[in-house]
Amino acid sequence: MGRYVVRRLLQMVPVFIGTTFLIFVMVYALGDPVAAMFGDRTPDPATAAQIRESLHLNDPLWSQYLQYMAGIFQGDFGTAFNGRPVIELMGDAFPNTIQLTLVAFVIELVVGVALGVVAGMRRGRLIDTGVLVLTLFVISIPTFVTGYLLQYFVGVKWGALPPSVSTEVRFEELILPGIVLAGVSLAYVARLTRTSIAENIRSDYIRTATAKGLPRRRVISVHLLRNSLIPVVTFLGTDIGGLMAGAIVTERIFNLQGVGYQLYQGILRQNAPTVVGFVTVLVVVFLAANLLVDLLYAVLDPRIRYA
Amino acid sequence: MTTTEKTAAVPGPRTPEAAGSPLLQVRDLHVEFHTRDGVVKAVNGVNYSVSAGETLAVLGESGSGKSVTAQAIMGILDMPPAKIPQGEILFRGQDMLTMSGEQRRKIRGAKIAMIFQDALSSLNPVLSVGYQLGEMFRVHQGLSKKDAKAKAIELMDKVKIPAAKSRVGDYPHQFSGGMRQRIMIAMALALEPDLIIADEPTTALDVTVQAQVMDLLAELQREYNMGLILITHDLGVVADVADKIAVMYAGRIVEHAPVGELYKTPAHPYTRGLLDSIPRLDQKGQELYAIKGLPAAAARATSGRRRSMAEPVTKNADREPILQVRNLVKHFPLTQGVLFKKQVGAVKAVDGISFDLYRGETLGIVGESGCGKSTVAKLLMNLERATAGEVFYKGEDITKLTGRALKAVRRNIQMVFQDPYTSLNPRMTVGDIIGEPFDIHPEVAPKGDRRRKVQELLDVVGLNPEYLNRYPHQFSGGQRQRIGIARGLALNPEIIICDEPVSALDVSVQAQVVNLMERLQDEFELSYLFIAHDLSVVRHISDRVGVMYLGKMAEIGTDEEIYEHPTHPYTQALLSAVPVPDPEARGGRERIILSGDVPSPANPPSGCRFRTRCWKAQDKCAEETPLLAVPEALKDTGSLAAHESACHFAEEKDVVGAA
Repeated sequence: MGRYVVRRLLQMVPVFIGTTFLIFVMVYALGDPVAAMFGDRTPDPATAAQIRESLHLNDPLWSQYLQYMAGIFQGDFGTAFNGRPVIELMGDAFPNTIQLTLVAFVIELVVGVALGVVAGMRRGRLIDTGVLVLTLFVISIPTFVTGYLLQYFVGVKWGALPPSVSTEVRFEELILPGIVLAGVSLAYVARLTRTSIAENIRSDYIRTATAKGLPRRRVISVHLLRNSLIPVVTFLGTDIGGLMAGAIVTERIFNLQGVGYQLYQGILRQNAPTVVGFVTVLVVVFLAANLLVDLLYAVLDPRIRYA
Repeated sequence: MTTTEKTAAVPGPRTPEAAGSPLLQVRDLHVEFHTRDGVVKAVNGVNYSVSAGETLAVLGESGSGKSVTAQAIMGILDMPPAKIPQGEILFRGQDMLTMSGEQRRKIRGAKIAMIFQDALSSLNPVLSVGYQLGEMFRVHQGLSKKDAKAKAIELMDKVKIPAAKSRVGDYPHQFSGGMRQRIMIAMALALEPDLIIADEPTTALDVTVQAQVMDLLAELQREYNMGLILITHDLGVVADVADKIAVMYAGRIVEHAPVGELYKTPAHPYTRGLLDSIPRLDQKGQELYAIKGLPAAAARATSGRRRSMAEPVTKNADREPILQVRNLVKHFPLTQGVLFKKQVGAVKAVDGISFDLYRGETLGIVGESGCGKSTVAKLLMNLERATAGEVFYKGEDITKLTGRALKAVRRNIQMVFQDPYTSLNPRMTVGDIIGEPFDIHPEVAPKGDRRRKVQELLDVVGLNPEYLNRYPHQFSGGQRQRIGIARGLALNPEIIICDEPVSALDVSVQAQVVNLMERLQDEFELSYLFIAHDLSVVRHISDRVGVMYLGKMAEIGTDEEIYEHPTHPYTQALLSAVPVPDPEARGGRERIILSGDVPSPANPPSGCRFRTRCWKAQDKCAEETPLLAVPEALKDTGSLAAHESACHFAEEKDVVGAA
């Protein structure tokens, strides 16, 4: 197992370098960052040249990349458009996004799996069809529609939950955006669980468990669930990164100053350090989540052994 | 470590010890399945009973309702779609069908336990065996986790799993097939139930392991004086252990009799047909009896000339072999390392095999799973590249061929696969499946002629030529195997390699397919390499037989030489382990029950590979690898025992009790 983890960590290095370099190149293809800095005004050519020099913008791209990467490892992610260091922006943004992601993740896990189990056990019955139709709705309606609708009805009209997030980011403020963010993934989790449960419930070892005289509750919770959740875990794991990166729309609707908000600002202002910095961290999150899933896999399924 | 035991002759059925009311009575049981396509009546008025200490064998082919009846007794049918409209299942006089769900649950596992066929899929793959065994005690007796584990170890000892204490935390996939089935037995035995239902408990196992497991089951049954319902299609196993037999057909019991009576004077025509349709180990029979009442097209195929006993197999010496295999080796490398894979060993699947195949003959290759017999088939087809050795087809070494030359040779060597359910593409019509070889070899059948050719082939294998546009799922298992054979015949090959062609089929269907294959051989002068684990079928169809063990040929000779005068201890053990469908033979036959499992081919024993399980093993066996040759001591005797055998201490021994 230890060897396996080391191997996986080593494999991450080329992936990390490749993705960051790709992002770096793409962001620089966006346009002239110095011009963007001055907005609509035309910059003084001497000042522009000076800024260019200080940001190493005249060096070849690969050299810029190396300098940037060297900075990252010293904790220097560069400066954002408003003059604040990017690392400070991260310090503000990531806690907010992580909180939102956690809320969404819990909703996705609990509701998604529960719906899937109920539907899978009653395959072909009314409740199964109901869950299928419901998930179809959720998948096909875009996030910003459900977001604004929920915000208006639940938040503003009925006042059941706060319609937007304040600067303190209280828990109850995150419930509504959490539901919106979890929505689509939740539908996938429910469907995946349903299929898996429906397939495993007819398996020979469930028949054995019943023949052993185990109570139905135990057959389901001990024998059926664990086997059925293996594919679901894969999806959930890869979805963590997706939730964090995909919160852009949700964060804008509910006015949460998180990763999505900062990324949006960075792209708008063509500020390379902000975009590259945030995406780099997200890449690491993705890689870590994937490794975690693979390790969890071995825990859930003893037939998988890593060496 | 091998025990040789001679059980005392048992005249007729054993009388059950507990007289009086039977343990379990099934009365006029009906089971229906309500599906979208209508109601399927799976069980139509079944009656049987079992007393303590008694073994009832329920015999029948797939779809006869034998398993459904058992599941109804256990109360593990899915209702719906199943429904029990009529009948009673009395356990100790109480009707279980009127009990509450909770009452039934308490009987399940504790009073009536069940052993399933496929232990690998029937055990939960993600829970340790200790947990699954201990669960019985935790749920039914409320023991603590720790006590349950201790009990689990005790049980594993009871069913003779070596090193139970250290293996209790292992998972099902870490055990061999035989050990897994022992775990299933242990689980059923845990709470010392009154009745055990065993549904095909040994069908998935190799013969030598099957003998071990049946022995254990019978021993434990005696010890606990349990009732046993043994569901099987294997008439040999039944003859060995049963007291009485119920023969099921289409949801009904067509015959119910004590075991001796049934075999001697079967009353129902179906029973008679069943008994005649199985090839026997101890007799080289005539054409197998094919049960009627099956599709007319299927029955038609059984008419044909069968090589009669009077017509002796011509000695091979004066004939030219069509295929010569010399020192064939296939090693699958085992690698290790992160970036640079280095070879750390090899699975020696085939390790130096030589034999000849003559025109028009059938060479049977038998052996247990993992002995390398299927790898040999793949090597001959060049589906796998040989590590070393040669295969000469008409004098040309085909292991080195590639491209066009290989394609030309393959036209003459075709294959019939084991599982007719997965070896036919479900999205192609039968016409396309059989005609596909013509796409690859268009010279055999020009475009315009194909349809007629395919119809001819369908006719040859006994299927209606109009079935051209049907899909595989519209056919039964036996019919599908006929399609597979037709595909193999399409290119007019000289050699057909059959890898377990009938092992997935019911006995009566198996008989039809075997008969068809024999007829085709005569008609088209085919040479068969017939690979199988079923010794009786191999004896029936083969002219010569080779016995493989762990990648090596242990013994090879004519069917008579191998079956009636075996000289290799492995062949002797293998033959003696096969149950003969004759209850009177059960007392008289000597049985050699091998202990343990086949060693891993990645790390085979030195010298003779069989020595770890052999009762004759001496130091010489570990040091010197015996060569496949006619043993010196037997060379000049002129007896049939003088055939090639790879053993230092080759000695003749009759284990079959030939009739």
